[in-house]
Amino acid sequence: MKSTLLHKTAPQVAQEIHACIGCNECLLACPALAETISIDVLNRETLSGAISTPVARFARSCYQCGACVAPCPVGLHRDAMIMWIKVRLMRSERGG
Amino acid sequence: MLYSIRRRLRKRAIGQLNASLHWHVLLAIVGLIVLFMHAFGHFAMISGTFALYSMVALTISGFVGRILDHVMPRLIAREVDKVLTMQGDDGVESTSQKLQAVVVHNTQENRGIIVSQSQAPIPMPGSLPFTTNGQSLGASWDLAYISLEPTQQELDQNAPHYRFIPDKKSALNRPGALMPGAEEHLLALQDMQLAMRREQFFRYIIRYWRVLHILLAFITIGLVTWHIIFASTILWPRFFH
Ligand code: SF4
Ligand code: SF4
Repeated sequence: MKSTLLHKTAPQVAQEIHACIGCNECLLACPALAETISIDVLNRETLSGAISTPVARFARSCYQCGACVAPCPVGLHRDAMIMWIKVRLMRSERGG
Repeated sequence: MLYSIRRRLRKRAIGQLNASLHWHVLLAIVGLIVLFMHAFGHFAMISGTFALYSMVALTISGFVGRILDHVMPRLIAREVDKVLTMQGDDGVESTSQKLQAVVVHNTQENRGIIVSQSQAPIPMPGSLPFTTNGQSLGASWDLAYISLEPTQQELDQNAPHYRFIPDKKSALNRPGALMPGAEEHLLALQDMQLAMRREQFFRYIIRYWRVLHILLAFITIGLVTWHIIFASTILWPRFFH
C-alpha cells in the first residue's frame, strides 16, 4: 500500500512557503475554497501572526484531499501548510 | 460528472470548483429523486433495479464522504497537534533527544561519572542520530534545493533510529534500565507514535472513501447504460409495430 503523506513540521512549512512562487495553482485546484484569498495573505498568515476570518474559514473547510499538491509547479504541499493553520487555530481555540 | 470534468480543466477561477461541488451534490439528489419517480414502484426490470440500487449506493457514499470530509481533517489536526511541539517542531525528535539526554546522564551518574555542563549531552540540531532533517527555520531558500523527491522526514518516518522507542528485545526494556524521568518521555513517545498511526489511518479513510465513490460512479454509469440498452431493445419494437 502506497504510504500517505503525513503532516509537516513548522520549519518544513516555512521552507515551503519561502519556495512558493505565488502562482495560485493550488488555490485554483481546491474544491474547499469558496471565496477569493490572496496567496500572499495566505502564506503570511500560515506561519505566524493573526489569522484573518477568510483564511480561518478556508483552513477549517480544507478536506485534506491533496488536490492542491499535483498542480503545484514547485512541488509544494499546500495541504500540509493548511494543516499547520488548522493546528494553530485549534490551539488558539483552546487558549494555548 | 461535470464536477469531475471541471476538476481537470485548466481554465478556472478561485471558488469555481467549490461551486461545482455544490452543484454535483444537488444534481445527485435530484437525479436520485428522478430515478425513483422513473421506477415508480416497478422493480421488475432487473437492469433498472440494479441501476437504481447502484445510484442509491453512490449517493449514500457521497453523503458519507461529505461527512468524512468534515470529520476526518479535524481528527487528523487533533493527532498532528499531539505530535508537534508548541513551536511546530517534530515532537518525536525533541522528546527523543530529551530521553537520550536523560538516559545518558543517568547511565553516567550510575557509573559515578560527574558530568560537567559542557560534557552533558545537550542535543544539537543535526548532531544526533535522532535528527530527522537538520533543516532550520529561516534558512535562505534557493530553488535548487526544491526536489519532488520525498523529504528526509518522510523517508525517515519508518527508520528504526528515528523513533527512539525501545522494542521488546531492547536492553532498555529491562527493569531498572531506565532511570526516573525517562519513563515519562518514553510514554510521551509512545503516545506520539500512536497519534501518527491514527493520523495515517484517518488519511487512508479519506483517500479510500474517494476511491470507493469513484468506483461506484463507474459501476452506476455501466449499469445505467446497460439498462438503457436493455430497455430500448424492448421498447424499440413496440414503438415501430
Ligand atoms: S487539501 Fe485542502 S487546500 Fe488542498 S485542495 Fe484539498 S481542500 Fe484544498
Ligand atoms: S501552486 Fe505551489 S507555488 Fe503556486 S501558489 Fe500554490 S504552493 Fe505556491
